[in-house]
Amino acid sequence: MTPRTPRALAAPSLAAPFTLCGLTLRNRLVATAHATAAVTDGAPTETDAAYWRRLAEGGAGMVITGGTAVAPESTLPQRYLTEAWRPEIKDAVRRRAEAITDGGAVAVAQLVHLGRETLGAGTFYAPVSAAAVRSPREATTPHPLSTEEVRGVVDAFRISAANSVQAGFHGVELHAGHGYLLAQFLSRVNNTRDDEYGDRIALPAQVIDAIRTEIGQLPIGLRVSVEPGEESGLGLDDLIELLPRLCAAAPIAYVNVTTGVRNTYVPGMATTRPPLLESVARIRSAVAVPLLVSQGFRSVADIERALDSGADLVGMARPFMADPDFARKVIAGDERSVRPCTGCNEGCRTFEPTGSCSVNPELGPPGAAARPAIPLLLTRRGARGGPVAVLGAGPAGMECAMALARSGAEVTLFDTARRAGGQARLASLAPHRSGWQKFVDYQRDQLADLGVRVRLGTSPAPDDLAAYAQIVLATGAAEESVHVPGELLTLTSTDFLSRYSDVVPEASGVAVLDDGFGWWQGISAVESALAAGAREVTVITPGTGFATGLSPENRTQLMNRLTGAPLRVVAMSTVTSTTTDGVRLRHVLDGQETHLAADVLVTVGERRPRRPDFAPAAHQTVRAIGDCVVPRRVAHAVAEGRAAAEAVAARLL
Amino acid sequence: MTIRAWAAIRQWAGRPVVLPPEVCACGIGHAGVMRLDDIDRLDRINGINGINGINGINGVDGRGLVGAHQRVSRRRRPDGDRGRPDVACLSPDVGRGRLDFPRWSPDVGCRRLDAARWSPDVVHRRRTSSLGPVD
Repeated sequence: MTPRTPRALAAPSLAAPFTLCGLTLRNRLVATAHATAAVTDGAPTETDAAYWRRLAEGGAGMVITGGTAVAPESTLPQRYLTEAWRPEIKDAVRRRAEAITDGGAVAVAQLVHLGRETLGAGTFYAPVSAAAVRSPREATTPHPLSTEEVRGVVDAFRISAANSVQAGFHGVELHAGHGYLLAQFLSRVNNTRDDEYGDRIALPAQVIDAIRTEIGQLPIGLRVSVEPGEESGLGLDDLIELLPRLCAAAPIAYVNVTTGVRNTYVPGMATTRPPLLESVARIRSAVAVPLLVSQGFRSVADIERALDSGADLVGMARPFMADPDFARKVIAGDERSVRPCTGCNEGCRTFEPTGSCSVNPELGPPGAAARPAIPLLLTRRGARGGPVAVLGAGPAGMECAMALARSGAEVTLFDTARRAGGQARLASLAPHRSGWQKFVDYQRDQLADLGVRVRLGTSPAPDDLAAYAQIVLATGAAEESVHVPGELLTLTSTDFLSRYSDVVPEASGVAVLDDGFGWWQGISAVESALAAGAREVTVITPGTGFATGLSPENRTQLMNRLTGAPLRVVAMSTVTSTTTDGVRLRHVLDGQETHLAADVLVTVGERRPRRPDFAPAAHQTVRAIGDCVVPRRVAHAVAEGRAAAEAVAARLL
Repeated sequence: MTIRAWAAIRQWAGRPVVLPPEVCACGIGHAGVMRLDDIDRLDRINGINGINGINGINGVDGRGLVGAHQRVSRRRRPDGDRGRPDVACLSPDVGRGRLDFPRWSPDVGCRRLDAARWSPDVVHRRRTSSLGPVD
């Protein structure tokens, strides 16, 4: 095939249909593959089907399901991956495929063999790979597949693809990215074989040919990722060399290009633009087949730019979890109403118990129509109807006010702060945490569009609230000061975030006393101090390490950002007192005391509920939500905001 | 009255909470945890004497709510002493629908604790990658 050059003419808009192997995609937006964990004993559940149905109904042109393994050695002990090689689960898979096609999208099943990547969970079997080359993410070297065993892998993909198509999928996508087995064969570092599979494209080509014998001309897509570091042996230059050769050897319907390997492949808030955006034209020039580019696309401007640079389709996953109606809204020109993915990587990556989303309260666990949430009922009185007052314009209060306004209630939102956002806005003040501000901006814009009265910088007096029969307290939390006796300038992490650019230039050595939970308060204090030019930052923690509360993905990206930074970590220690030039440390095990030079101490204290001293009148029903009940995560705040609105609205009817 | 108490617990435990085994007396590790002062708060919130109303039923310091988990208490204290425990461990049967008590109030609320913050050394988060959404 002749490689295409970048389009010279005007690019199609994201709303334009696209034809793929005779199938019509209603637009250029693709929901890329991910697991839901709503899978029991390897078979998708009703909850799983409902998830994909909702996603397809939101308007994406093509939906690719993920977390589907082709062989037992590629599963996890929890068995939440779909076991595609088993024909007996076909009915469950059919439910999933029908959910997508009923929603109007083209349904594609991504198939994966993890190879040497155990995801850190271990399996019941020995990890396998192209060669005896250890993954940087694993402690041991995998078993190198024999020639005969590789042929078994080919068969596993063939059988799984046949099962998927027979269950109703329009096509399949081979996962040859993220460092999984097919990528291990494509890598010049990991594939050191001297048999026929030493040709790096041989295994993927054989898999494609084998599947073709089962599914005919239905689409077979290929997902690859630009992997970082020389040790991956599969960077952009490698892909530019391999893809034309592979497409010539075994024709595919499309190539889906993303980035990263396990632990780096889910960019957090620090990644604010699509990493591949500048490379689209180069990839386009190398491949003649339809090109799907993924990773980090969040805005219409970036999507259109990718299409303009030569991509045919643009893929996203997390934005569809945050707002399944993403496609419908942006095609209607209503990007402002899209509930944004913040890149927090909290709910969507932890599977507790299934995929959820911090900012989308409608995504609930199995058996629940939404994320479970129970607002705290402080007083219940008999009065019904009338206007509603919400006190506190953080994520909980704004979500509550939005939902109330949508239900037709007359609502006023108060906050003593001059700017909306509460703890989310505070968190966004740190470097690389701007994702929270995106969410605050979204909520603020929605409140304006819904006509909610917002009174910032105002603390309503009891008389001001007399007119409201329904009151919702969403007044958040405040960080407690950690008492450390001594002379050194000592600030809470809240105070430090608010003024670090003023404090740090006067204090070159910054000590951060973490609470041991390894969460963002201490981490953001570190990143803020470094951004402001601190000569040295030292984290002191009674726990066993730094940033231990983060998911592996966020922690890896954090450590990449901190590479080369003057950061020291003193684990299993605490601060007993300060002096004029530093802090006195005590080891929590042996009690040994040492001195650390520092110019300022930042402490991470417990956040305590903050509620107004407010005596409700005889007619007032009062509820409390979010951090002012118990300080937790944004996900709790948003879900309780929504639930409180529903409870209040029920009383208004 | 017991039904009321159970219904309240069930409402409270409707949210999955990962519980560190060293806190969870029963060792099951995925039910809920409630401090006794939260139980007091539950009393106040509900504005009734409901929880106290089952005093003595199970012989746990006059707090039948805790004693409803006799099995748990016994396991935690092999000598059979069901004295006042630090925490109440809710059986997984509660909140999962196996104990089918009638709903008491659609709006019952109480303070919930985030088990992940129970102690610095107990953070029961998944340590694995998940094949969740990437792009």
